[in-house]
Amino acid sequence: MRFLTAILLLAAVIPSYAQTADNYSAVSTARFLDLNYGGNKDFVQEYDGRQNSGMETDLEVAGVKDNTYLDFELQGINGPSYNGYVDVNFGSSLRVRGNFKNLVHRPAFRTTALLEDGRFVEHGSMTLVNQSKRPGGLFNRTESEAQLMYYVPESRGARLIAGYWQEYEAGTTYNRYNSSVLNIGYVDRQTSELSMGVYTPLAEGAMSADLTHRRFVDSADYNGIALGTTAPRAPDLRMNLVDMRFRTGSDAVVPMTAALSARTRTNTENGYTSHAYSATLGAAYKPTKKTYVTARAYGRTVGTDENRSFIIRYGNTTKAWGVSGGPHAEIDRYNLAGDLKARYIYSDKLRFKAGYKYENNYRKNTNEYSFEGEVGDNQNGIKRFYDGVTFSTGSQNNVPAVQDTRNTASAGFEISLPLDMDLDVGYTKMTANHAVFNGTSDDSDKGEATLIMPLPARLTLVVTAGYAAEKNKRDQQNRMRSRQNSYQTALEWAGTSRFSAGANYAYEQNSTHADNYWGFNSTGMIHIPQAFSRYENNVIGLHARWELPRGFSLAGNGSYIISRGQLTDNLNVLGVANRYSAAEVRFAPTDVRIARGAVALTYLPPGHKDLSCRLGYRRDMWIDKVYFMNSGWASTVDLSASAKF
Amino acid sequence: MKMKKISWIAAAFALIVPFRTASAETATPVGSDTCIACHAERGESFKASLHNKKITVTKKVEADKACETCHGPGSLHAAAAGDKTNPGFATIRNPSKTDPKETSKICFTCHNNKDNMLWNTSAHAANGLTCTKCHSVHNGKGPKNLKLSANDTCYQCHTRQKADANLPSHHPLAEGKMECVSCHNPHGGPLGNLKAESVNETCFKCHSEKAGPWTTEHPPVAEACTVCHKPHGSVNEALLKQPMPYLCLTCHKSDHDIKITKEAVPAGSLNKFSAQTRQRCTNCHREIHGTDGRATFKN
Repeated sequence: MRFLTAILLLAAVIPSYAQTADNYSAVSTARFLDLNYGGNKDFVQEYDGRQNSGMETDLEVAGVKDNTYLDFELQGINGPSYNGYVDVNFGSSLRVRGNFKNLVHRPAFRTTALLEDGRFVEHGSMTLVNQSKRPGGLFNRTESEAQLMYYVPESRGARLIAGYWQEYEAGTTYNRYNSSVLNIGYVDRQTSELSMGVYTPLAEGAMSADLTHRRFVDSADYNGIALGTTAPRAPDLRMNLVDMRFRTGSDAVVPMTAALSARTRTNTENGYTSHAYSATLGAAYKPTKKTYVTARAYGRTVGTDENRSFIIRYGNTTKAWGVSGGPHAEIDRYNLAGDLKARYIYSDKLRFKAGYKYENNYRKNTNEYSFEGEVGDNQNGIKRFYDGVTFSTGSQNNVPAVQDTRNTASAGFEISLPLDMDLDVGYTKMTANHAVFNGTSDDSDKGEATLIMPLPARLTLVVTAGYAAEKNKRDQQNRMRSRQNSYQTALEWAGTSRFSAGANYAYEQNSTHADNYWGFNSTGMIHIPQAFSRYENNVIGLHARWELPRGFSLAGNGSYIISRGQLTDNLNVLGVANRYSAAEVRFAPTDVRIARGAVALTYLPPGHKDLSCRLGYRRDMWIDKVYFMNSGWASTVDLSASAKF
Repeated sequence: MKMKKISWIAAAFALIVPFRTASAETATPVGSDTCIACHAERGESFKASLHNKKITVTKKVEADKACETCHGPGSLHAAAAGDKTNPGFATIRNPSKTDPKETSKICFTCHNNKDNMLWNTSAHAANGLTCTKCHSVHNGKGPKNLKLSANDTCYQCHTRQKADANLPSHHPLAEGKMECVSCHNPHGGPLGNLKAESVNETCFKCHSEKAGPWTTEHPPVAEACTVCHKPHGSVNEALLKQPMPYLCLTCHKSDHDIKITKEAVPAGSLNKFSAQTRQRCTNCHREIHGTDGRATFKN
């Protein structure tokens, strides 16, 4: 009996051999790159670690043989950013797949500087001016994943899944402490994840369940600078997750879905453990042929078990639990949300949509941060700023809201207009009884409209306009309000069978006002009403493709971005000695131009479609109008040849 | 009278029965060769597709039956020989034109896994999208059979995010090192279209060093990463919504006096030297995402 059982089990795992025709294909590409660059590489090549010219190769293999399917791809071999992918199916029962990729990241250094009355004032003692003294930051990020799947025979896709995922980062980055010296920080950290899962049909529906264990370890050497009393942080963080999902069959009158998860996170250094539980339930209903309704409910709780025996090690204090400035309980959160979406097809030319979302959030242990805890011009318990603004003791703080309820309603329509035009319009309104923080909103309005317009000569124009306004109506301390306008337009020319082109433009502008407060001792206490922060972006893109005679084709694309930002504070307070002499100071100004362009000539020999050659040129430029030391450019000429077997 | 009534009923039945018989005829499989006889181009594209390569191995579907696995039995459609007025012509299934629910049912026959478990109640499904809006069995690219590249598929509708991905501070989508689906599940997730059940858990997959739990947490970090960051792209460094110190000052007061002078200053206040360093708050408050160290987040 056992022998028979073993035979049956063995037969279940050995894939049966169906009548399939063996076939395969392979593509091999060799590529030579000639790299040139100038200036600062940190911004223009933020995600490109290429340092020198060199050769790279790509390899793709796919095929079927003896009831086994293989798909394998490796790109950028010998380059800094290589990636690979493999997918193997052994019959219908076993599947192995994996992928990996390597990214080199230059953590762009941000100079700290001010614009004082239009004059750029950098840090007086910084060594930035001398480019050769930049220590350089460059770190590798490698991500890899492998999965093994066993499909249970004759089970409509039931399977067991085992997986491993890993992320490893190592190298150097910039660090700025309370110092004039630009320093190096080290990166050496790894996250690894092991998971086991099962998927199975359930009647007409299905369910899945996964167990995941993840561990993060930071092993970086510590560059102890400036703050002196610190010790290296070497966190070892663990995470466990149970995730379950369900769905009914699509044929059900009301198809339903559900998801449950339980997650714990542990910090082995301080002994804290957090627990998070979430549940989602969804249903879709089509009461008539023209109406579609979806409803979802979501709930989540997060709570932390604090290790009260852990006392703050660092700094100048060792305080008891719960004492102001000492260790305290972390915020526990309870979130509940429900949303309803409806779509009504009035006719072929007109469709309506509407939605409503309700959210209720509750937070426990929201600790106090008293806003006016400083010593200042103190008369009868009132804190007074130089412009006369006052807050009575205990009246202002920036503690997160203990409870907030948000209602979000949306409505819109899609209409087909004459001349084959389509218009899509939507509006969303949110109101809340409290903002979560002083700097977040309790009231917002958003509107967006998109017009698609076919034009003569195979042109298509798309225009989108959007508007968003957010404000915190109830807070009298920061009085935050923000407005954003955005426009996008794209013109595509389907052209001929040999030529196509397109252009697109996007504009976005955001203005935010909020009161700023500065001050520490008796001569401090400056209130800047409605300090102003603004940014504006213009993005232009172009692309074209031209099929030339005799197997040649020419393709190009490019983009140009103008990005500006400013934060203005008027720190020249009349009557106060030793302030800025300038009326206006701009912190962290941004004014960059980013230009990217690429063109490539490809040759496919007529009669030899398995061969191809490519000559390409790419140039990227980063021009910093505020601080020239951030500017740089990089160009690459690449010559590659591919053969398909 | 009785005979006349019976004759009338019989005549009516004679008219009804043949009609009912014709419409009750069901289609049967005819084989891929019959399909390709008219749809040669489709047949060629399918031969080169990932579906054709895998379906015979993983689903043990013979090549001869591949077309009708998705399109349904084609005998009545083939018999109509292109005559659209023939009721049998429309009996063939066209996943790109059927009701979204019907299309997903066709695809779910084989493509059933954890990632698309929540599709029926997802935002994309609620907006009437079907599998064939993004995927193409015949002409798809890559292992996911997308009509366009992974990010370009999303950018067809999500144009704002496309523009944001080109801003000075951005995740490496434009460089091809990351995809929209690194964070999002277009088939629906537990919270909107995110892969995880919260914003933070989505971010912590790659940014594990921020996860904690910490002895001293920074409340906006614990609330949601998006309180301070714009993950699709930003003008400001580190994907921040606003530059420092403005972002910090929307909740905090700067405890640093701004007495700016070249002369000696009292202890505890700043001079211009320090203001130029400290106006970027995280120069000193480095562990702003949470720390086991001092509550000032300096270490």
